[in-house]
Amino acid sequence: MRGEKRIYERDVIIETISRLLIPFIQLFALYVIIHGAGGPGGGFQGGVIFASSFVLYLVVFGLAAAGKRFPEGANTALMSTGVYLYAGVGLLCILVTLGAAEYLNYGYIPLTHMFEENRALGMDLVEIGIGITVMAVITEIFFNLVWKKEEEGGKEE
Amino acid sequence: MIVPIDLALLTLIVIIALVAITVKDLLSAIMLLSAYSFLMAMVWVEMHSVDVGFTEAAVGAGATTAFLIAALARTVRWEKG
Amino acid sequence: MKPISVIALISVLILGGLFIYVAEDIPAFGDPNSAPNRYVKLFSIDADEEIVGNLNQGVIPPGLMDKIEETGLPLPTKVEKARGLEGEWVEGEWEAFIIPEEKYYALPTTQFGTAPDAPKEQRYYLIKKEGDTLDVYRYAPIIRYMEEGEHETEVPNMVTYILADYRGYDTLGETTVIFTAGVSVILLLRRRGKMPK
Repeated sequence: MRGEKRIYERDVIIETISRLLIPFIQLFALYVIIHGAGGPGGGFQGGVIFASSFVLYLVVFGLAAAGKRFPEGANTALMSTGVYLYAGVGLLCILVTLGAAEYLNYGYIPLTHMFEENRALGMDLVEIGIGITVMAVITEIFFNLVWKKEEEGGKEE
Repeated sequence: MIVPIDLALLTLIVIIALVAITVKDLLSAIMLLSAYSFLMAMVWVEMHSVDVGFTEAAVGAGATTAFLIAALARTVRWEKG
Repeated sequence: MKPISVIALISVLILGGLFIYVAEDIPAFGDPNSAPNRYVKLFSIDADEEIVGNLNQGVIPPGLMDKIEETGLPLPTKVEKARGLEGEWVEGEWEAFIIPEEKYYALPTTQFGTAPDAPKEQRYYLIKKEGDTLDVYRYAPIIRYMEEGEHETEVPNMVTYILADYRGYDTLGETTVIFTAGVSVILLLRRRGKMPK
């Protein structure tokens, strides 16, 4: 990031505060995803909060720096990874019971010895899948929306 | 469900929505929509549906505002006519 | 102010007043024990001697069976006097049809995971005598989720277990919709070429 040509002024306060704040935002997002079973929250909310940390990074440090941190190809791959994780957990229920259980019947995934615990853990896996998809999609939408302005000479608002 | 708080919040929401559709400055309209989402999240939480309020606060007041500002940066700021 | 603004203001005010009026008027708003939330009324039939006699002897009347078959719901297997029903409905004449086992619990679980407990009996169809007619109600499925969900899934948050477990297909479709939105944004807004250096 040093020595780059920037199209706007750097602000020490904003950069320092964002640097400090972004890891905590991401930690809170992971907490919301995992804690969705026990309290308010879930995959969608946690994914949105996680994506908002990327949005903050992009707003503060610019598109070029953010594009290096979150490469577009990886982001596009993560978008489909979440849906595949969700559908894969559903398919796993059929596979491990050789067709005895229905699709998305998490109790039959052999994670623990309790039927109910299996359901809770399957739900957690599914929430993680939703979180990955939502995070990648919102980041992607924002990156694509702010693309044009900086590319074409970067006129300041 | 506390009725006076509900009535106050809903009245504020109606006023904010009215101002948001009549204002000429689109940036102000976006900020008003963000405030609308935040008050709506408070209404949801006050109705004991914390999950919906959480989603409204994260998506409506956070992500949508960022998207709308990014979209506004590609057009003009002032509404014509 | 232009006339259209005035019209918009007036209509929004009317809609807001209507919303407040309706929200105040919903009976037992958010109360899971209120009757409309707890039971779903299916149909009502005439209470002639034969049907009532059959019900009292523990036999399902044929006319009632046909009516239930028309609705496409699972057929009842036995009749029982309803016990322990709370609320204002208990003063009427109640019978309960009980479905002994649900398909969800009848699946074999041998080598993978323990089988859940013995099939839990659910009051499925409830009958109330109202003057000359018998009203047939059904236990609302959402109440079953609310009562049984927590110890069926070991997850205390009701929203999470309904969204991710009982309504898993819905959430899968929702995730697919979000994914489709991302793909369409890439298709429509993405610029060709590399990121600016």
